[in-house]
Amino acid sequence: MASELENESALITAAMQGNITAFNTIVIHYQDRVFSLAYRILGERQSAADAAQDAFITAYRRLETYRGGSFRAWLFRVTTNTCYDELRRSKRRPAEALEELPGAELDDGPPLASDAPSPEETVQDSELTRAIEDCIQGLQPDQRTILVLSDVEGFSYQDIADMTGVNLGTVKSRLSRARAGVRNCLSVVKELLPSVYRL
Amino acid sequence: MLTDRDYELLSAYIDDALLPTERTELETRFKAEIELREELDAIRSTVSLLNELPVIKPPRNLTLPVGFTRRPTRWLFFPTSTAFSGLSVAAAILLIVVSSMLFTRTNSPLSLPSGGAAMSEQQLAFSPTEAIIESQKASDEAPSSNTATIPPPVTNESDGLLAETSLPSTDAFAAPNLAPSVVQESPAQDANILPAPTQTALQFYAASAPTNASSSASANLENNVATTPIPEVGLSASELAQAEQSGGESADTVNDAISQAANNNAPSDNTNMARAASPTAVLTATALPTRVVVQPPQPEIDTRDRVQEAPSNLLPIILMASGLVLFLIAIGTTIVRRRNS
Repeated sequence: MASELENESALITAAMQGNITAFNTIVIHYQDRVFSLAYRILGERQSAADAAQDAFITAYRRLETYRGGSFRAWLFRVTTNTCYDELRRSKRRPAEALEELPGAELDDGPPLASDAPSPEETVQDSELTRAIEDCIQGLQPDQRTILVLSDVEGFSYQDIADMTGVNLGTVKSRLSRARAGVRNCLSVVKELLPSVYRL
Repeated sequence: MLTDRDYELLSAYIDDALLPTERTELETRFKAEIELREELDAIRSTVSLLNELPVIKPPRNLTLPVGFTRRPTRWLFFPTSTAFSGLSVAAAILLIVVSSMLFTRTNSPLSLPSGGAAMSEQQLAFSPTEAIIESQKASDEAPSSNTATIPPPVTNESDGLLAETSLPSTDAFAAPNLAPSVVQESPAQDANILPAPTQTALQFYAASAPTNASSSASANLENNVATTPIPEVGLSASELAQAEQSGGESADTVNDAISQAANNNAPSDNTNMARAASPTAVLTATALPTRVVVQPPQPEIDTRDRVQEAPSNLLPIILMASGLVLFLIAIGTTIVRRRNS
């Protein structure tokens, strides 16, 4: 879970007064998490980047609707809604993702710097991660969103219910189905799983 | 085989979201059901794997440009609230419904100022041309006479509005044998059951009767009670000819000629009655074997009314257009609102 930003309240207040620098400080702190959430809901990097950007723009313009509490939860709610809008749009206008076109992989440029594991670990982790990500993408969007918010981002049932606009019972049932679905999906790729996680 | 309910319990158990009783029951089942316990471990491992998923870095920096403002520049200031859209839709529906009703009313043949449907049917049934043709036929067949006999017997048709009869030709033009009391006992037996226009016409007869009444008419009174009374209006030959000539224009002209003749011959105290009856009773007078069509009071629609209807037809169109514009505004505000959200 992302740590709270220092002076977050002060930054939010400054951003409310139009201080873009203060808001960009918040963006830099949350952009990875926001993009991760968008990517796991949408399944495409470019769409996820656009949705995350839109979410930050919307959050900046709607800062007055933030009534205190967890700013992260409020920001993720904005992101979730933005991703749902994007899903609805993509349903109306199905289009091939640019990154799936030949040569499109060069458009993203070099990945941002991170703690680089060894090449072997990278391969193994990336395969496992890709397998899990694929299993997540195999779920229905509503189950996928709740699974990510709960098991990846660590939100409570109540927070998820508030973010997605469904009741607690629905959150529980969707989450249980999503977990069972991922569990069944991962059982096909047992060899990729670490021994402690053998299903 | 585990059910969906079992998976829900397992999921909630992992998140520590079960009630104490449910938790106890489930733990009891773990001891007895190996499959349930294995599934619990599998789902718990899955959740752990999901918790381990790395944070993904975005392909680009998502910070906003320095000149970015909180409020987007609106090229058109417009309220985009849900209430505004809802009110616009409601107003649009109201306007469209009202304009449709007005449009239907203005174009309906029943949309007369007064008189209702029966009156409009009467208006449709009346054909001055038919009356004139019959008048000309009758004048061709009948010998020329100085007498124009107006038959009073009224045979009510089914709707009771168009009453007509044929009367034997008579040359007793100068001696009308109708008295008001006779009229009151016309074949309808009771004048009160006649439609108002007929009564009005009979009043006209009654008013004109004394003008040419003679003692013989009074003598024939009792006979006429049992038979069809025959009112007569005296017209001179020239007046009749004039009436026939002008009959090509409309039956009203003939009627006017008859009324004028009656007025000329009538005492002054009856003139007002004849004049009063004249505009409301349209008599299709023929030369001799006369067919009288008692016309109910015509709705007062003249060309001036027609001219005045033209702008009133614009009202529903304007209302309809306003409703459509409001509807488009509601759609536009909804789109803008969704885009902004």
